[in-house]
Amino acid sequence: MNIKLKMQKISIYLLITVLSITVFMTGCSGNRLFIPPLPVPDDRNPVDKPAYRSAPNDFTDGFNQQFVLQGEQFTDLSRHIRNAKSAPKEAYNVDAFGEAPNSSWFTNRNAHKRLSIEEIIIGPGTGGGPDTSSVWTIIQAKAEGVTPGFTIIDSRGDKYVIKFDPIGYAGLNSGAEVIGSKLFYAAGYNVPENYITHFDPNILTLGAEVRFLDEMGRNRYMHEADLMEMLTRVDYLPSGLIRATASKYVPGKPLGPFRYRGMRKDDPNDFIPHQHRRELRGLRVMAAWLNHIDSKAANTMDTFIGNDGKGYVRHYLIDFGTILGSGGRGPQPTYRGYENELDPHAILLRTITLGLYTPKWERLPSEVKYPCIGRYYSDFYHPQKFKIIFPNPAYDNLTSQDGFWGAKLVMSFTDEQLRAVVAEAQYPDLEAAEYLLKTLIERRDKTGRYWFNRVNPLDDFRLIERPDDGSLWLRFTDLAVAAGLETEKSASYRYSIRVNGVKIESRHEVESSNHIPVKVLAVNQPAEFNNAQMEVMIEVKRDHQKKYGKWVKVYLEKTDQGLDIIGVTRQG
Amino acid sequence: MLFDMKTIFLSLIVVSFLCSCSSLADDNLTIDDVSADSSITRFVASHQKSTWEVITAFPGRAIYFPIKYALKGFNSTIGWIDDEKIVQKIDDFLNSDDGRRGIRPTYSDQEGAGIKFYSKGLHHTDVDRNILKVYLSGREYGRQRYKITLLDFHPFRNGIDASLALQYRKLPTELFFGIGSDSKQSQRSGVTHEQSSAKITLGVNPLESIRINAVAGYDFNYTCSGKENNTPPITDFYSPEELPGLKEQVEMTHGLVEILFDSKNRPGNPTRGFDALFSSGIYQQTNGSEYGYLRYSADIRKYISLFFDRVLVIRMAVERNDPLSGRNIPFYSLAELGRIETIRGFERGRYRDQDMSLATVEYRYPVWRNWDEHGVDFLLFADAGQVTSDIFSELDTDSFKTGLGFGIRMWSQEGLTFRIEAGRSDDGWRMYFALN
Repeated sequence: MNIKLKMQKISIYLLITVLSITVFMTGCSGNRLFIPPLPVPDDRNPVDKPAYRSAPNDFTDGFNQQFVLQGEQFTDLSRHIRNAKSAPKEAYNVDAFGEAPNSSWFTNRNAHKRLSIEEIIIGPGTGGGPDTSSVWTIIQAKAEGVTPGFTIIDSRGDKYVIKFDPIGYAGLNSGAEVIGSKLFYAAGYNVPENYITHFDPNILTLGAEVRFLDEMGRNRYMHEADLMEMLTRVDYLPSGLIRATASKYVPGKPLGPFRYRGMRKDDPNDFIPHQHRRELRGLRVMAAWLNHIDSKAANTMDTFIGNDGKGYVRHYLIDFGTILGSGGRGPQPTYRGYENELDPHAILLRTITLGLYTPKWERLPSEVKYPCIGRYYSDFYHPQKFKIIFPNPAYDNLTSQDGFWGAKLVMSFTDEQLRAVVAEAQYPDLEAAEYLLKTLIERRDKTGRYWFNRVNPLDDFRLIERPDDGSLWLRFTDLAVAAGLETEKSASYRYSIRVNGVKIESRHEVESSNHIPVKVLAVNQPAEFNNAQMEVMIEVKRDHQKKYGKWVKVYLEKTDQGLDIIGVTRQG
Repeated sequence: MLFDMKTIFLSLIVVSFLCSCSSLADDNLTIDDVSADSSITRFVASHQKSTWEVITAFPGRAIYFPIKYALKGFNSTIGWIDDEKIVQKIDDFLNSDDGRRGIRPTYSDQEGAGIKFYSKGLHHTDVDRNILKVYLSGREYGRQRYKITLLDFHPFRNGIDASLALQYRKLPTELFFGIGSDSKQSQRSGVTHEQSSAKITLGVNPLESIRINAVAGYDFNYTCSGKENNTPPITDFYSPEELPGLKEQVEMTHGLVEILFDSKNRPGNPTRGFDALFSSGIYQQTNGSEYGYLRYSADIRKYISLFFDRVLVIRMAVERNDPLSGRNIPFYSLAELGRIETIRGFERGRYRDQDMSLATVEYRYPVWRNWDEHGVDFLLFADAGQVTSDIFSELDTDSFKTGLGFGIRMWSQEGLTFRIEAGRSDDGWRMYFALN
């Protein structure tokens, strides 16, 4: 009995010791200098064409994300330790300034350099959509689901997927598709060209031996009668034309969807686990803003860009028919965006509280005011509490840094840009379009307010020379003020400076201004500070806050050539 | 035994360890796998997991390994079923493309497991008319039911519709505890009730929410000892002379008038409105003159929307069976308490007498919704009721029998898909399950 007891005690001590050492090891950071991360290698090197892989089954994908993966994350102690220490695993593909460099996944656009209204309207477009003046040859079709769809080749030889709005909801899916593609493109993602098209059904011609997924899910040859039947399930305009979305085939050879977790083993360029990619984690913030509740593998596409068997894989987001207020086959159900489709937490909470717990979404109106918009509200919208149909592993790994990065994408859109994008959706109801614009703006601002409060929103650091004495000053932009979320007057800033880890100045208050100069004291002391590293820590406090918030640290290095900003870190 | 539990357990640990070690590398790409590009190699190497992460992640991964692969196995099976469209193929095989014909599984405590075949729109373009339904069900001890119904036929041009139902059922495990509200559980006895019946209904809808039915029916009944093991047969307690209808072939005809109100907002999970059935009729023996009675009944349900789809259902039901002068009521036709439809927590047929009163309060709240097309509700209920020989003179709320419980019900737009309920009464707990 005594031996058993002793063994138990030894086991407990051993466990405590291992945990303590682990925590100690992970917590040893010391007063080290900033080491810029290795540059992210370009992932567009010429490689052999990877094999095609089909989309995962919707059920298995959903079950996997909702249960298998959640269980795995729950039992990963290292994850819990990191989270407890507020040091979650950060995205891999970030530079010293926390930015994601251009890659086969993402191209810095609006947040990097604001696009003009013309550029944002064109979006990913290369033309004006399919040629509706001549015959469209149907080469593929699907009848299953509420709304049918075709793949056609127009007179120019371009391939388009033609998708329709649900009956009674003209503009619902098509508007969402067009707005989604333009906004995600402007943010930096690769997306297909989506156009609103109005066509005469008489231009449709059935191609030879068209395979067709009928209403029962059977793959068979399509007949004229099937086409006629499918056309009875779409809305006609008074002019006799049909409104639809024309989604152009993305360039390159299709390789199937990408997963939000892991890597593609047969693509040497794919060397970063997808759940640790900044642009996929940060996508959650965009998804929350636009209510993109269906961010799953099946709504992505990889294509091979290249010739003679050599090229690289480009990664696309596709299918925006279920964003904003559109649920694809009608307006989104009210719970979408607030709960997963099968949300164990919500189910348990409702069950044990005997239904007395009423989630906020239940207070949203059940009736749909604007059929072309569906259910898209800013009331009760919370950027961090947003949930998609099934959990997404990249979203699950979102950290404050990723959220801040994503919020910068969202906040990069001006009211004018959004107005132009909404106009491109050609909604039949102008009042509805105004409502959508207003909601987009409100949700955008809520997104910015949340993330810019959670992470220090000072950005765009640069060194400027003072004209009077030639000394260098560090300037920054307060993104919250620049976006109009906070006022200049309400902000107070203070800074501390360390040189090679030694504190030189501590907590100096700086006057409130949109662009605040922070005097860099060490600049004119070349003898002892050559090759020295300087850390400027800046904190912000708003009038409505009791104390200073989280810090941002800017690192400068003095070299023979002068002073350079070498990196930025933010408190998570 | 070739492999004892200890060996299996140790093997599992070893397998878990090996697989966890390999799965730990899920997030990391080994340097050999990437191209010779040194910048990529260095970059990948800089993001390998640290030792402390590998160490601390191991126990959880090892524990989760068998669960993970069990879940994955289940997931793959579901995926295979979905990919192969097994459910769709079965559905395709059993149900017609246009939804006019189909087969559904059924289950109820009384009838057992079975199937329901339906064919809608027989010789008619409107699928909601001319409906044929065939039920076949059975369970242990030879319990069985066969029923054919023809619904919503319109033989006349004046809006009157007709329905016909033919049924045979043999219920060898019915229970009898005696007559009156003081019947004891110790008097539990088994009885077989065999019944063939035919019923024709003519109905009209004078208003959208009101329906009036005229019903004429015939049924043949026979009862004898029950077949259930461990339940003493009824003949051990009663002789045919003591219990009207026992071991006797009784043919009865009946004529009824029914008035139905239905203002529910939806059939599957109503949140507002009410439904009610008022019925009055006469039952008379045709192969003799011993049995004959009048029956009056009312059953009213009110659905009150409390807040956000939380619904309170209040039900009141009464039944009065009044023997015609000088005649009796067969014991199996008496009013009854103790089924899922009455007081949950008691066995079927627990209390029988001429009259019955019942009150139920049920609180339903949603726990899951899918597009407002399907949903799962949790429910709490309290049932109370009493059987008496005369509802007007003997009704006594102090001696009401009560049942409390909870349950889950899954609904679709068409109606209730299944329900599982557990009720607690003075007799203990009872579980109920019903499908389609």
